Amino acid sequence: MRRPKTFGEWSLLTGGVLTGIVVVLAVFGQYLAQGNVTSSYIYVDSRPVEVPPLLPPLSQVKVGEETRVFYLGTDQLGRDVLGRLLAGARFVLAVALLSTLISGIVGTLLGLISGYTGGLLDRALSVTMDSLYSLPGLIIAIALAALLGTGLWNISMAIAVAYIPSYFRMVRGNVLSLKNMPFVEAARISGAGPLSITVRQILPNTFPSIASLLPITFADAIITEAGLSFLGLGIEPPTPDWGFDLNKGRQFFLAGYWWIGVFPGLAIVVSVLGFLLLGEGLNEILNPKRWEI
Amino acid sequence: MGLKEYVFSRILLTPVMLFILLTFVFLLLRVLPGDPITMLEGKNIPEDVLARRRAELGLDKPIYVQYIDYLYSVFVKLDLGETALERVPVAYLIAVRLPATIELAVSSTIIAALIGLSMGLLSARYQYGRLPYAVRVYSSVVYSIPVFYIGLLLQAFLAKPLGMPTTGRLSPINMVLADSLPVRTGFIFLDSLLSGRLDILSDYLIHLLLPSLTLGIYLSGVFSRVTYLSVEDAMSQEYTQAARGRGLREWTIVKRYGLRNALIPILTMAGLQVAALLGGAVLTETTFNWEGIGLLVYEGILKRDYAIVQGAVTIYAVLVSLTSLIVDVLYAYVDPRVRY
Amino acid sequence: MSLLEVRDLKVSYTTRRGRIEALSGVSLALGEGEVVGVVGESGSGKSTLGQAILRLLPRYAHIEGGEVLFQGRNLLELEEDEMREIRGREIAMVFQDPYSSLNPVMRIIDHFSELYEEHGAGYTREEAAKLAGDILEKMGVPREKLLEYPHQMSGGQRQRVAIALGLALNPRLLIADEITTALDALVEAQIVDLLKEVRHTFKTSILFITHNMGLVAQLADKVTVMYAGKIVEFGNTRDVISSPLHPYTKALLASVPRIGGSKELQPIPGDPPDMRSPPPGCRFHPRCPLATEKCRSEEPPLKLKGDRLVACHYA
Repeated sequence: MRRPKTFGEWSLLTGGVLTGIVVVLAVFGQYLAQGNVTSSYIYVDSRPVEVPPLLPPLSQVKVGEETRVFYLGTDQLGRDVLGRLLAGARFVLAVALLSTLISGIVGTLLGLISGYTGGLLDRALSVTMDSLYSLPGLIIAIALAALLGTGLWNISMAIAVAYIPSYFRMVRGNVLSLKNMPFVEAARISGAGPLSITVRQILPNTFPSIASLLPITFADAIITEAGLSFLGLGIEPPTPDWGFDLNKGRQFFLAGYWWIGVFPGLAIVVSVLGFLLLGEGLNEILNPKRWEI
Repeated sequence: MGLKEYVFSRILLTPVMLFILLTFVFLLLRVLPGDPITMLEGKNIPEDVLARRRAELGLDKPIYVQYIDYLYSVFVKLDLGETALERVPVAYLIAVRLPATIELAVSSTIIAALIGLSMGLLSARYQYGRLPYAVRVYSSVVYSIPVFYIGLLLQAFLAKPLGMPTTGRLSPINMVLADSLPVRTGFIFLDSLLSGRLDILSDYLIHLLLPSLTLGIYLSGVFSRVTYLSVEDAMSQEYTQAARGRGLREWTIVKRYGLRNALIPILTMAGLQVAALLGGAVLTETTFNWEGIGLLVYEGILKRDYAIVQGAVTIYAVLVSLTSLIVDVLYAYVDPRVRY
Repeated sequence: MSLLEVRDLKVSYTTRRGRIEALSGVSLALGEGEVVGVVGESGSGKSTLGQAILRLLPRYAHIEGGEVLFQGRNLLELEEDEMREIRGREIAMVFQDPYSSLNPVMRIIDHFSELYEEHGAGYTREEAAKLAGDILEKMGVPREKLLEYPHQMSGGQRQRVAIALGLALNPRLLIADEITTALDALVEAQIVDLLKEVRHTFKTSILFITHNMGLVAQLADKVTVMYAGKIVEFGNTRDVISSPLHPYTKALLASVPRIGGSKELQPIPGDPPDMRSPPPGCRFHPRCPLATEKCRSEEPPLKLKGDRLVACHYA
């Protein structure tokens, strides 16, 4: 593999590495850190031992025979920060994945239908999507999360709704320009029905733009989820979650216990940056700009 | 057509847009599966209390009646319901809190514009060096940092060492004083300035600094990236080369041919950023305890009060329509192709 | 004494794909009131020549040698601010695409006022408006258009405005870089007529860069034929067209349809050379029907044959 030359190639590389690390840690995290994530007790020989709260990073706690190291310290309830970080990764990434899939699929479907059908349906959908698009995403997510309640599915849906318009607009735009191209005409002449044309001819041509939007939606979803849980919406404590922990950490930060809030925040930054760069790099590769010299 | 006619027609269009937007908000809030009252307000509250609350909010009536009620209340009566516990009109709460959010929004936008525009302009001027890369990295990194994390970091590393306040709009003493100022618009900036109380004004500005810096830095990422790209694009157009061919100075060209043309996509971006601004305001106000609408939303969530959430979303729809109007008018001023 | 003399100009571009030699020692001369056409294919270096004279080359271009003498002064030795004084006032340039050479957010009158101001003319608003209106009308554009924006005008009108801007300060030399290429034939003819007027009324010298031999025939006193960064033929237009000496010139003329001419169009076989490594010897040899061993190894110098300059071993 040659050395990356353009900004896009660097983005792709860095993004790929970062997201790779994050995903691996999320998936295999539970085997790495055996800490107490949701309770203040760790079990040694089936006996609960209470872990002291607010321990700084790299603290060591003697439990029976062995010494456990809390690499990132413990939070205000004695829970292992590192453990919560890794478990939180699973939750956050799951939410982001779900929201991205939902918004991507729904937005694309609606965009395809609207763009190809045209007419009143198209106008109505476009107006709706424009309204949705103009409202702040976080506000929409807040409103929906408040109504739908807590839990993985509910948050994912609440967040997904905010991103549907982006896919809708993009796919609809693609469809409108592709609709009148010769190869579509050809398919129509040879007797293909609208469904077949949409799925076989038009949809594949929208893949590059969809693909480059997906990582960016993923990154946005992580941030929105963090915002929601920061405000206390969508998750039930003691589920580990970065945004929630950051909020709790905030209150202890100024008293000097910085590790509770800083590490979740860093986790968010690294994950979002990773997916963002990945998306930018993909964008440059899939949709090349022609200004070269 | 001319600028005046365009503005006029655009203003006429606004109520229509608002109407569509509010219909949409209504659908969002009412037509979803799930009962908002139970979800939000009533885990352990007896059913008859819930039923009463439902009746208060008109949620027991048929949908189309609710719809008409909603539109009527908002447009004509300007009534957004009352809070569950204290029976305070939501519209009143919003009116009291709105100036704080507007002041925060304006100052954040100024900061974001200053940072973003200067970074963008400089990298367009020196586009053959390292600066453009730095700008793109900066904008990606800033975008990835949640706005409340920026707030947290600023509080920890700027406010604490310097002894700056981290919550509220004014220190407690001044809060009391501010209530008895001769001028009372709710905009502390104006009130203190026009009343000649510069001590209150400076206290306010110190309190305003960190929140606006937080939100401003957060927005500056997108601002700088779009400015750089738009100016660079304008500078690569043939009219720039033609201008050089007429002997114009480089800096004149950057201003009149580069930036002036770049304003068009920049303005488009700014219009979209308003949504991000309002969303970010919620988180920023929560972080700094800034008594604006964002904080109101947070309190509404904490207290599980549906009327507040509904009222806030409604007002956001109104704000979005208004700013959209302003952006479109500015657009027409900046791009002659729109009005002729 | 010539108004403009280019001596052995060498220009190269540094691109991602390597170094491209755009001009490999080009010389030409233009007298007062003369119109000289520069003809060639894309990649022949003709636009580079125009840009190099005004030192408007892009960042990745390098002038590697030669002189550009304008009224005796070597433009390549001037400081940037001295050069700026010349641009627009002594030498003006009109570009190819009328749809992108005027600033979309400025009115036509603003383009003129800016020009006057930059060159220190000190006119009041009324004076500027009057003068700008005068020159516009001379170019066949109604005075009222001063208050309009470029997008409100057609391509042909915009090009006339561009020419008017070029002539506004009465320059001695006008460089027209493919100014009709983006226009349809009818408008193209009008612009050519306009240039004839200009030359007659203003006595401005014109360097007319184009790929269209037909236009050159109508307008230019002398013609320079360029190929692959070099000049292959130079002489009076009438003579060159009626008896071309260089095989490339002959081929160019044969590929132009003419009323009463031969029935078949003869395209030139092959492609223009890759300027990262031009062919050895005579650069035209891969496509030349008369090429010999000598052509492949020795570069033919530009020699005087009568009052014609030709670069061919067998001319």
